[in-house]
Amino acid sequence: MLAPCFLFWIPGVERMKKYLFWRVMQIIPVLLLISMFVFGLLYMAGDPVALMLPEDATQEQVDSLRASLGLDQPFYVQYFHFVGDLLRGDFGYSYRYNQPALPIVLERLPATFELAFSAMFVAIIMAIPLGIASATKRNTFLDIFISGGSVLGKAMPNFWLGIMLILMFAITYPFFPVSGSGSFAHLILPAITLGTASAAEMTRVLRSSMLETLNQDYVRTAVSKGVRNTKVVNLHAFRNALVPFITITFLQTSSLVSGALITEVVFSWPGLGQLLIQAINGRDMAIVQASIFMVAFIVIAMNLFADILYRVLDPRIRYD
Amino acid sequence: MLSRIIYGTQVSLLVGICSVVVAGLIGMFFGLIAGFYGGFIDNVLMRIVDAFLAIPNILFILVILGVIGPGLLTLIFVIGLTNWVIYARLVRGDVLSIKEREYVKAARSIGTRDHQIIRKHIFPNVIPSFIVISTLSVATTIVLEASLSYLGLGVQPPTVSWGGMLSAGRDYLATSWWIATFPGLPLRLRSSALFSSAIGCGTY
Repeated sequence: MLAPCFLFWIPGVERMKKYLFWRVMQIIPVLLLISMFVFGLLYMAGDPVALMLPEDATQEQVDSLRASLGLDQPFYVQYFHFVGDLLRGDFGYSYRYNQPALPIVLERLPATFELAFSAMFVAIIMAIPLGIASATKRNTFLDIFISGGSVLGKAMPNFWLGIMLILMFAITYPFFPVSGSGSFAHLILPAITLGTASAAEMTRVLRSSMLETLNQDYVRTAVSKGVRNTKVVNLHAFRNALVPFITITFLQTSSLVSGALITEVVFSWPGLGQLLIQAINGRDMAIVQASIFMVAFIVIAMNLFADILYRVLDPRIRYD
Repeated sequence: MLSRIIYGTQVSLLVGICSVVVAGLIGMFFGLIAGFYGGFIDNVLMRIVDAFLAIPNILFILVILGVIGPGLLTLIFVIGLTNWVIYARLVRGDVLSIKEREYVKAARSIGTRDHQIIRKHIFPNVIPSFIVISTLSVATTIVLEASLSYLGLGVQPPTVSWGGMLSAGRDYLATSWWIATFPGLPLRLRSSALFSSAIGCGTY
């Protein structure tokens, strides 16, 4: 009996459901557009037949293979077949690995996730104290230092940071391995490399939202009641400043994934990014298309999640 | 080494500015139209924007460059064609609020034509935030170009680029640290300078 009561208390559950429904419905045209784009790319990439047959294949062999793959049909028929295959979970066949593309991509995902989550962790531990410090000590030397640092952090190409970290902590002072994966030590440098840009962005967001909550009436009330300073900051200001912070954390997914592409190459991390770069260089279009869909799916899901969380955490936001 | 870095400046600025111009023009056009007319056009354009935003920029560009083949001009256009969504979204948002202002209503009530309202009343008011974002974008594009060149799909040798130099330096890290270090410094300086100036523009 308790659960329905709780549900009843949350204002606007019905509106939330309706909003959720429309929000999910909006994903369908987006996915369709992505499929058109990927199809266009495959079309531009040219005829896979040339890669599949030996050089001395006769014209008849070429034609029969084209017919059996459906490549002799007009492009809109090909597109419908393509979408049909996607809906059935068939993302094409990789001629390089001689297996369907999807399992290969899925196999690489955990490594990328491991990297992305540790980077996120690094970013969060860096951003929270820095954001709070620069907001509470506003316009002091510390604040200018942190804000300046966040501009530098965001403007820094993360592969260069990666190379510099390798140079410092793997070659000059060999604390960590240069590249590869497998142990916790392997994870540290790539996670810092990937996490820094996100940390910079998150620090900026936390700073500005802290500044906003510190100016609110309830904070002034708490201060005038004589609540201790640390308590005001941690309890009154920080908790309320968390809403935009959490949202931006989830919205970092897109930049984390794109950052991971390069970070993985710098550290030879066996994730999706490395697979993708190899696939592009080897023109293995099945892998490329499966990775694009996988990444797009992750980003869309995370953005949706961020949107919902934003509304759950702050009931003042309207659904429209 | 120094002169290669200086020549690299040319390439990175060229790519940065040109692709921002391409992206800005496309984004401005579609943003103005989507914001001003609303309705069906707006819906369609915004879904396209969503689709573009769902795929991380660099992935998009890498794949296109992998298919078409790299090159300086292609690089500029591909970056431009994938980045326009940022501007379209920004301009649309601005237009939505500007078109409700009194002066736009006044212009409409005296029978000014649509394209004239857009050109004379809305366009000039979109410019300030547009410039801030463009400046920011030049910085991010320069970093993007360096990343692409690092991966070997950006500017091709013999043209020098900072990303390419960094990528070459990665192999000699153990013996000669300076090859990988120095091309990164101007890259970092340039982009943080642009960032700061954009933030300065935004808060003036």
